[in-house]
Amino acid sequence: MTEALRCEHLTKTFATQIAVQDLSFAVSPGELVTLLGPSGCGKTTTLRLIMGFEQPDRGRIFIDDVAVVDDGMQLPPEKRRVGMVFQEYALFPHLTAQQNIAFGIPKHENQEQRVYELLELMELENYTHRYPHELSGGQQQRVALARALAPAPRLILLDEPFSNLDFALRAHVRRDVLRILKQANATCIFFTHDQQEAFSLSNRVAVMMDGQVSQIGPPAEVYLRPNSRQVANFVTEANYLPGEATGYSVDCLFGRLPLARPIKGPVDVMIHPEQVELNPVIPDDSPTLVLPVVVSWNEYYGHDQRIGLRTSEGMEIVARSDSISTFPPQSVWHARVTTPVLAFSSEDS
Amino acid sequence: MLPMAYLLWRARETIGTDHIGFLFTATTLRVIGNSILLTAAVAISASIISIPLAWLTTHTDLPGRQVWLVLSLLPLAIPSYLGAVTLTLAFGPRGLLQGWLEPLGVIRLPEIYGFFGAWLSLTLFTFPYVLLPVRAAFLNMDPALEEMARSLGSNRWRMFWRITFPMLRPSLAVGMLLTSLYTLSDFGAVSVMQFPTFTRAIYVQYGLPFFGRANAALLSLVLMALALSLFVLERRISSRLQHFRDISGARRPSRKVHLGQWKFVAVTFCTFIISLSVIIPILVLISWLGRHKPDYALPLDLPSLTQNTLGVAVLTAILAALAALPVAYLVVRSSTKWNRMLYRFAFLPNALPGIVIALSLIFFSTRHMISIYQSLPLLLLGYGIRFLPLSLGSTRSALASVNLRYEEAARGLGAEPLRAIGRITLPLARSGILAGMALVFLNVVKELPTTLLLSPSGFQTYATYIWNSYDEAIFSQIAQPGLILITLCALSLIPLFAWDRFLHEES
Repeated sequence: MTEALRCEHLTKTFATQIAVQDLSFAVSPGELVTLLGPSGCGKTTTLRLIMGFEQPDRGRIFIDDVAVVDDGMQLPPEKRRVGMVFQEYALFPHLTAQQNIAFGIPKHENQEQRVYELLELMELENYTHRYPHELSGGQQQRVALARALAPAPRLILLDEPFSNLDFALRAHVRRDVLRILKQANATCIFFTHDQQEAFSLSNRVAVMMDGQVSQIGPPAEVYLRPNSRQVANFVTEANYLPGEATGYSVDCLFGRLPLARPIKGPVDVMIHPEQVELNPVIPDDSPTLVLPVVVSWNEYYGHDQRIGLRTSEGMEIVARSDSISTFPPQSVWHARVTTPVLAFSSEDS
Repeated sequence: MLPMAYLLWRARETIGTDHIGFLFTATTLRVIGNSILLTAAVAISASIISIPLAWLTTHTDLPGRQVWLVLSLLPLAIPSYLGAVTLTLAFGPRGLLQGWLEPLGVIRLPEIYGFFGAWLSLTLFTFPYVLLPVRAAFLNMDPALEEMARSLGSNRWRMFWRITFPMLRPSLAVGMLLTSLYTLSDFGAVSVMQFPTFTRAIYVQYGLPFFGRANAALLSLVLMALALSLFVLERRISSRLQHFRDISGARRPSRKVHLGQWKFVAVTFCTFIISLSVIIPILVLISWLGRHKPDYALPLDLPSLTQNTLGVAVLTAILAALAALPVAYLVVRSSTKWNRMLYRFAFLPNALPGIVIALSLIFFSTRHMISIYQSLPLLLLGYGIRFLPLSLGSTRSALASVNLRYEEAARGLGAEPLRAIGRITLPLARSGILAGMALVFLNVVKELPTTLLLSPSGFQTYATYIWNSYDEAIFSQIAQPGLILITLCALSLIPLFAWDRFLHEES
């Protein structure tokens, strides 16, 4: 077995709108992949195509190297052995936690024992006979997950799995879910529009734009080296400065900076806020230019902060800093960038 | 569709003869005028009763709101003919009221028979059809809108006319049209009150020799056209209703208006309406319970009446639910043009008066399938055609209220489509489907003309027994079956309200 899931040239059109266009990607067994994209990019359609709730106009889908959609052949959802956790969980409201989990397990397969194992894995032993409305959001989430895992699916899809949870609960539930999925050794695809969630959860992130996968790779690669301006806009909060690239370096406001990916000609230089280094005094021997900047605004988040700066030419730059230093409005700082940057041809923008 | 097509065909026989002129005789025209006049009057008076009732039970601190609500829906459990009979017994010549007033020297009361009686009884026993949608509209109204209007400087009165009433209007229109349809197709009350309208004219013509049946068909067609136009209007407004209900954001319960010294007026109003529409009919029946029965009275065989009534009602309810399920499911889950059309067709009989459906089935069976004429299956078919829409409507909304995700989740867990529907969708829609069955049950138990015309000879239900006893003026024979009938109907209202959560609005 080489691939848990492979989508080939999937296209799906609704009435007048193209939802998914020539979409291709593959997931290895045991992998956690996130399909990340803004709302309306075709995530939900992709998910429904994989589940079998929608039929693609063109393209093929393989699960464990076996075709489930191919040339008009269409395996019904119940035959695909793909588990799913719905955004709103969709726990059957008239069944208890236990009955919900047992639903997908065939009777002859030691149903009771399997349900018990799952309840234990979810730490839900004390909620066996509760109905969904008697459970908290986090507990419902775990029941939904257990229900999806119960029939031992070949693949699990999770649709915006954490968006219904309180912010305070989210980090905790996320860790739990990750632990359970690892323990179950499941192959998972998360569908989300939340960049942080995508980066922190998965082995690989697939950025989806306009019905296609624009870039797929490990989180750090996608964040640090987006392959297009469009992807960069969605996954980062970067600054763009005009510049002139000469292959391996680029000249811009911050002097000559090394390029992470070679390019030539007029460009927009992408500088992440956390790449902008702020010093109270002019550092000695700087390899790049040091710019005097004035603080114009400050957003304090707790674990970090964003600082709006103005150069003497009147250009706005955003920097990110730890939460310990203070940046009073109108104070003067010395800014520089020393790490490699990315640049996009300015004709693309 | 069958009844309509058949009536058209039958009525064609009269074309080319002088007979089409029958439609334009003075008598016929008067009948048409009577029907329209009665319908309009009932719709208006039912609204005048319903708007304050709905407002009092939703927006004020009226004492015993829940009790008033339940009482004000009880008229639905009283068939119009039975209600009309009790009104004549109470207020008619030699009635209860006159009995009480006689010692005071009153020997003549205003005439109850005719337009006044028909109008009064139909108003009293159909106003819940207006009350229900108007009440729902009051409940759905976002109090923020009213508060907004107040904050913009409107006083209570201006606010009512500028904000509240316009939002009420579509629901009110739907309710008025429902009462109108009911009035137009009512047979019992107008017959009791001896007020010549369409349904009565059709019934009379049907009994006449020679061209009687053709005339009945002709009249039925005109009645059907009237009813259909009302029906189309109702559908239009209903579909527009949705816009008024789409309120986003959380809704708080509205603040109750303190009635203060108006409380007395409000309670008097409620008491007056409820007395006329619920308490007096029941008291009249009770007062006749013990009276002497003449020897020539129809034998009262309660077990067989109960068995017949319950039998046809339960059977029809089950059959209608079974027929409604696949149609409703198709419309809800895959709303293609074809499916929607099928649904609308199945809904049409809603506009057909029972007497029209019954007559067309008689015409059809006597000509082409004499073997089923006056048989139980034909009676069930008549009920089925007439009441399928009721079952269809509630089954559809019950299924629509079940989130498609549940079914998809079940499919994803390996359930075949039928198993997913059976284990997930149906149990979740159960109370709504049951409510639909209760509605059909209620209406079959109450239905007079269909039962009268299509029953096998010798087959009596409570409705026909009461009718025949009334025909022979043996009122003491009406009391006991009448009370049982009302109890049966009242019981079948329970699942309806449980489903609509009418009683839980404040929890």
